[in-house]
Amino acid sequence: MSIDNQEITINLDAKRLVAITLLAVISIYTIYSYSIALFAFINVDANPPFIRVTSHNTYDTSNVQTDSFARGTTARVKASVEKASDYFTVAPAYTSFTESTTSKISVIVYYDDGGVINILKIQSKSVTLQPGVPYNIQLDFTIPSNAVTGTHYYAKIFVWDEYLPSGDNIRDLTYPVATSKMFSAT
Amino acid sequence: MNKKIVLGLVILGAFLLSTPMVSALSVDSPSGETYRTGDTVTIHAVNYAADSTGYIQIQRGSTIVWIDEGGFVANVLSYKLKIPSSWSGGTYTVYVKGTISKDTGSTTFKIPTSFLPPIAPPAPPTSSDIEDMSLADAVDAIEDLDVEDAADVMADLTPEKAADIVDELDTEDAVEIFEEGVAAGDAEEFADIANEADPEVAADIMLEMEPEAGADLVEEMVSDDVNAAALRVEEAVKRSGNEEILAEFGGTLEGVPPETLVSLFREIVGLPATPSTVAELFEVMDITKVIDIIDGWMATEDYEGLATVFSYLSDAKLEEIFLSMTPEDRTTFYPYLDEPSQAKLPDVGELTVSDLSITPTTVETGDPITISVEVSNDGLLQFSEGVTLKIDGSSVESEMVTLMPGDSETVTWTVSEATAGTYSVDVNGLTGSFTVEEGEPEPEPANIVYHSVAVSPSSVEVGNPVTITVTLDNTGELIGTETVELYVNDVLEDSNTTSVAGGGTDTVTFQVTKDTAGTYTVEAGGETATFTVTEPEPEPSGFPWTYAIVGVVIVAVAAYMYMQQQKKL
Repeated sequence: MSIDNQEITINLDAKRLVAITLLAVISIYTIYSYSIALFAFINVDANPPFIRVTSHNTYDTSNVQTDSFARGTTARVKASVEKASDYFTVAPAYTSFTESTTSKISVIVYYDDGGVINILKIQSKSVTLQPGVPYNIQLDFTIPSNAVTGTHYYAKIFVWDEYLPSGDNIRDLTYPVATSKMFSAT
Repeated sequence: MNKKIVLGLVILGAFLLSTPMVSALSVDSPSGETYRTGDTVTIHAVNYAADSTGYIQIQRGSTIVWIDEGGFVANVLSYKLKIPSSWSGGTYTVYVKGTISKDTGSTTFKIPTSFLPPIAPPAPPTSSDIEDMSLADAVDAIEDLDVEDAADVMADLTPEKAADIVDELDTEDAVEIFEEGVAAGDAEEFADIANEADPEVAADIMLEMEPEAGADLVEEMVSDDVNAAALRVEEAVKRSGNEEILAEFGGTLEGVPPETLVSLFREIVGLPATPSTVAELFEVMDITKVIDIIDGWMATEDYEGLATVFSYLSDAKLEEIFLSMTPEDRTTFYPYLDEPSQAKLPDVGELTVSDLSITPTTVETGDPITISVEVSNDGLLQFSEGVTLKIDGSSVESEMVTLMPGDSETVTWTVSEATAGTYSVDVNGLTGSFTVEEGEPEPEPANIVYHSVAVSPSSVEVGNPVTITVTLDNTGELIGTETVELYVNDVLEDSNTTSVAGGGTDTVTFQVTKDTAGTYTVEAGGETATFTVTEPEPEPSGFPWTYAIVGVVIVAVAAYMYMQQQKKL
């Protein structure tokens, strides 16, 4: 086998140097942007919070479920929040939830008067959710004696990882973590 | 710089500009304003990212006082919150965060630290306030009230003013106010309003009200002004538009008492515009209710008005209603129906005569013959018909028979003929015959006559009986029975019944004793006799020889026995 040695001579004058530099910058930026987007898609949090509001409803003080309360009586909102304790698919991999999570759970009760929110009660607390261990919330409140009768009373449950501005709820992980219950005053 | 360098810079700039812009969310309201408790603060956020919802958080210092979520519509989130009295003075920070973009914006507002009572909402206008307002202002005022207050105020307004307002309100608002007012017991006031309102407006309200409230309203409207109510109900039928809405309105009217509907419908029939209105309602109303109305209508004897309604009914409904009426009402009403209506009905029928019976068909002269026919009514009306018995073409008996539908009756006559022969029978076209033959002569019937009365003896002393014998003759051929009554001096003394064979004689005997002397006349069957009762002969008077002789004998015997006793001594 013979090897032909050839000599290549590149003469970089100033113009060519500028052009090559520009092309190099553009190429590097493009590859970088693509890589970032690709990693954002496949690099899943190894231990994401995965929380569900498993139940929520309104009750009287005897814990009998009801959607209607007389004015002046005490109503009760009960909800249960639970962090998953099993393997779940978080594409493209399986993920287990084995560590506790600190969350902010808020229960709000209000009357919607034609689009104007009338606050009746709010309870907000920071809790630690253990995987597979339900966390129960209970909020008692009094229906005002002069409350408007009828429906449009709401009780909502929010689960956030932190309060705003840094916080968020965890809706990106499929399950609803903000739920609403409608009831009425008579 | 040469062209290639410029070209390269342009390409780089275009590339950088083509990369996505960083989304921004801004909260432009509130923006530092001061609010008091009871005020409504509007959170207004603008977001150019693709968020459909945003999270809202309000905090005072580090205390979270409210959390909620709101929707972005055309990149704008508008959230109204009434500041509760429990919020103390200070600066409040509002955060809004897009749920997808995670973009966050914030703003603040203040509540004064010094006590400031909430601004009392203006007192709602009273009915007298609204009464004095211009119509436009009054309408606005009513629209600003909640439905309960609006109903209260409307009930207190003069009907004219309230009607003017109703004419300007949206139908939906008016219906809510009417329903609330009727439910609150102000049906009478709202009926006045409806009767004053534009008929088209009132009609639309009646069409859209809940059946129960609508029925109460119509009842009161009729009570208030039946003519005005009729105009508006007629308008409602015209404006119902389709059968479904008309049926719903018919259902509403079914809740109105029948007597009220009779008044209303009779009034509607008298209106010139749409005489078919009541018929249209009958078409969709429950047949039971319709019959109740017709019963009430018939009681008014306004048959012509009802016949007008019937003339607009469909064939099927006309037949259904007519057949559901009582036979009495059908009979009374049928003649008032016009010919086309009568033609739509099934054949009303007539009385039929059948089953001619002649029993027996052969008799002897004078013997009775029973002739009967069955008369029945299989039609729809009550009918009366004369049933006539003709023998040998001559009318001998006639009877008027009246029957209700479904009823039947047997008409029976008993005849006899003294002359032998064959006789033809005709009863309303049904024919037959019977034969009369000569029979054995009849024996003469009993004929008892009083022959004589005899007394024996003809004279007795007081206390002694006399025997009175009455003799009877039967001049007939059959045995007869007679009760003989015996009169003494025209006073019934005794009686006795006896039978006397044909052609025979019999006697009846009486014993009579009188305690008073005198002459007595006895009478039986017109025959008389006398007897005499006398006092007894008196005993002769003088010395009682019998007693004297007996006394002497006794003394003599006693003396003899005494003397014999002395001798023995």
